[in-house]
Amino acid sequence: MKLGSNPAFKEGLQIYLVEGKAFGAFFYLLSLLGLVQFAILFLPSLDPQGWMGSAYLFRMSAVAALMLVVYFVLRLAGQEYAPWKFLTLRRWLQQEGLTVPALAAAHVSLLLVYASALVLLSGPLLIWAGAISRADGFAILSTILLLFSYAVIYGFWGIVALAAWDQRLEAKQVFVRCVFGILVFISALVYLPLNPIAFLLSYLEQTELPPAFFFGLRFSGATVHAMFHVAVLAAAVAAYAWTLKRRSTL
Amino acid sequence: MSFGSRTAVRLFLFVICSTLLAPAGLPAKITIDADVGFAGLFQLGQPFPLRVNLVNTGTPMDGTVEVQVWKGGPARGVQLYPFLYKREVFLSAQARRSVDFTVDPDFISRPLLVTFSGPGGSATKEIDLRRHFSPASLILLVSGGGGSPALPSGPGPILHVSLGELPANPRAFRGVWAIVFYDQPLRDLSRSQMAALEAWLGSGGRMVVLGGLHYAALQDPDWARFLPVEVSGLRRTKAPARLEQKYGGKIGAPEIYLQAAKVVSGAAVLEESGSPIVVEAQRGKGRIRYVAADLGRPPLSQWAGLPGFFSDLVGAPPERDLSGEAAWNDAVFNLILYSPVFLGSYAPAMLFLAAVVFYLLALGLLAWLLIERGLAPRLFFYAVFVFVASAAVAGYVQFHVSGKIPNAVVFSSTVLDALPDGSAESQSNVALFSTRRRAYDLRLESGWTDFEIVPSRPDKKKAEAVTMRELGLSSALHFLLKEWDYRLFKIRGIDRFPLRTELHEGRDQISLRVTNQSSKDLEECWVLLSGRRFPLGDLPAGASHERSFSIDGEGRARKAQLGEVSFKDKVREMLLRASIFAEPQGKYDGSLVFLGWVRDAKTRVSVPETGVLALNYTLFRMTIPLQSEEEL
Repeated sequence: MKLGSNPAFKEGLQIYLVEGKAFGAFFYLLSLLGLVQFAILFLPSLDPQGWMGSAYLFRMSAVAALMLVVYFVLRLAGQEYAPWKFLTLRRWLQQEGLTVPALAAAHVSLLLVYASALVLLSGPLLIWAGAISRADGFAILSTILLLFSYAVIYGFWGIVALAAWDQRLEAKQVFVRCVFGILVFISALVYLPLNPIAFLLSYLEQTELPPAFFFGLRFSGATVHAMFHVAVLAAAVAAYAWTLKRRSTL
Repeated sequence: MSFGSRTAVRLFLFVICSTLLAPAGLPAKITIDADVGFAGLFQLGQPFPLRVNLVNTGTPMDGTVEVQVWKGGPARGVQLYPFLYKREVFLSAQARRSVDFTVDPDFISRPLLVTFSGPGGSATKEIDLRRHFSPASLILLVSGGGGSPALPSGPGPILHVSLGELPANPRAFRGVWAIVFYDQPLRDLSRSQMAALEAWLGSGGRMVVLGGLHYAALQDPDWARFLPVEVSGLRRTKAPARLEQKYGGKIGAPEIYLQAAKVVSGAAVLEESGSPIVVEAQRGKGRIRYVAADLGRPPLSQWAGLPGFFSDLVGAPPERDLSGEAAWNDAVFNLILYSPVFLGSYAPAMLFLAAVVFYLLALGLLAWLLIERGLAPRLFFYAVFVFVASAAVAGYVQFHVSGKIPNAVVFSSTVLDALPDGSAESQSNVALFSTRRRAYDLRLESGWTDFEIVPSRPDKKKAEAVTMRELGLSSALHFLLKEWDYRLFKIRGIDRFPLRTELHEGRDQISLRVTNQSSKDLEECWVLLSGRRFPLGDLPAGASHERSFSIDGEGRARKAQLGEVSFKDKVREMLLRASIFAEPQGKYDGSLVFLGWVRDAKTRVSVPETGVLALNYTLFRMTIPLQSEEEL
């Protein structure tokens, strides 16, 4: 089935982007990001010995954008906004005759659309911050690509929640927030290179994250970070596939 | 011609050509030798001259002489970083050339490295500075044709140097206590050496001129710039009894030769029968002493009182007076950095806020058109995409390319402290602040006598190397700055700023007349007197201002206080309180302090690149000690 004729994909686009049910998420993203950026520029004396708003604007904006984009993509992918407007998975699979691969394709495609929309809309604010901070073009572009990657990898857990709990909104909300908290914050307490904020800052500040040693082999912090995120995505894909398959057999 | 003869001729020509052309084909061979300090000695912790002698035994070549020393280190509280001095030189074939540097290492446990590198070859020499330092400052003895006098040792190491060995950079004299001239004309001194000597003297140097039998040496016109006397000849006179009384010992002859001299500036400190024996004159912060007697020859060279007399002549070792020095460090610069005037130059907060609001409103309008006005979804997505892309590009151009954020800001805060002879000691505190990662050339105009890189905060990462290049009369510091980073410098020198004051002190009133004889206007002038502040307004070039102040006896001794001294420009206020008068200013107690900001003052530093904002603040300060109640 072509994506353009996939009813689940069309439903997601219609409800969130044409009827505008996702616009609230976009509005919050841009308002919060703009507010954080203005505060960074306007309150330059948080630390009179070292704080320089313009200098840190791009780094801090990138961190704020990372948290906001990941949070909202998890919620959008899990269909937390206007959940009553979406058909249930059971209905798609059993009454509408949609196959599991077609439904999965719709979910993954919608995730990519939401992640692209969030990154695209926050792009100008990040580019302006980069211009003020005098960050080079490559750093700005690579930061935007990194944000998109994190949005997709972490957002996949949003569709895992959707597949697992579908219309049980509270369960999805708890799961999505737990995933967000663990991956974005608690990972830093376990081992710093696992954390996306630490990695983003070390990348922008051109510093090295602490390396890890497994079986006598040395792995750089960046390698550990990349391996961990491949594992997070693989785990999400596996969990999603298993859950969706289980739903189709019920 | 037979084959054998032809071969012999060819062989002969080959040998001749090979011999003639051989030097051109030989690679350049460079050997390096260096003379450290004055006669191999320098004072620890002070800059010193370094003469690099290059010998080229090969072909002519262009190249660069590079001297590397180490700055920073544990004593400075920062990591070690290399400091390089560079000079381009041309070496002729089979020639010898000397290149002079003034080097200032902070750390001498690592060797000083001299390198010559050019297209034809290179050479390196390491010098262990630990074998050349003296903990005490040095006394230099420059003696002319009459031989070297046997001066008593004691106050410090006395080093015999020739006139040609005197450096052409006033900074190289920083470790010198005094220079003693004996029978030495100055006509062989180059203009730059003369200027360096004058600058060193003006900034606190001490010069002692011993009058020998060859009095014509001091009739040299070049001496007229320094000497407080006019030497006319020799005269035989009775051995001065006052010298014997003061310093003990018996001068072993009833009569001695003295130079016949007339005081033209300064004052006679010691006289005998109306003839000056010791004359002293101030030159800026420095002092010159002329002695009419020949201390290098008998009978005075054998006089038992000579060590005491000589100690008095050179005085105590010079100490740097830091009591009036403006504070300059990370804390002070950060205060300025965050001031609204400075902040506005690199943080476009309001413009950014306006752009964000406009961006949100425009997106909101498109969303409203889609939901409420039934805009076609396809058209909506195109419009959003085009708008977001345009906003990103337009904002980038505005904030990065055509925005007002400068690439760098050169900030200079100078205090001109008036000296009695119309000159002023200039202390310039300089910061180069960069918003981009790039290398800068900070130009230092000629005339500075001292230069210092202020150590950065210990938490700052590794300091980058600094290279100093000599560019004719000016010098340039080359260093890399990261984005949003800065480096602080202190530059000292002597400038002309004649400002005449006439002070009439009564028991309960003081009247002051100030005449600005300089070519620069003074604005927002204040007088600090007996704990009170008086605004004087502007004082244009050539103008005078007269004012009377009431004062009581107790008030004379009161501390100078800035109190509500205010200026239109808040950076001036900040500089006055946080930097210029930051240290306890005990030296101004019981004095009248006149302050005024110099309009359009020229600065000693510049960065010859586009997009560099220059901010310059120059304060003129004159301190006039008041008489005490008892003295009146």
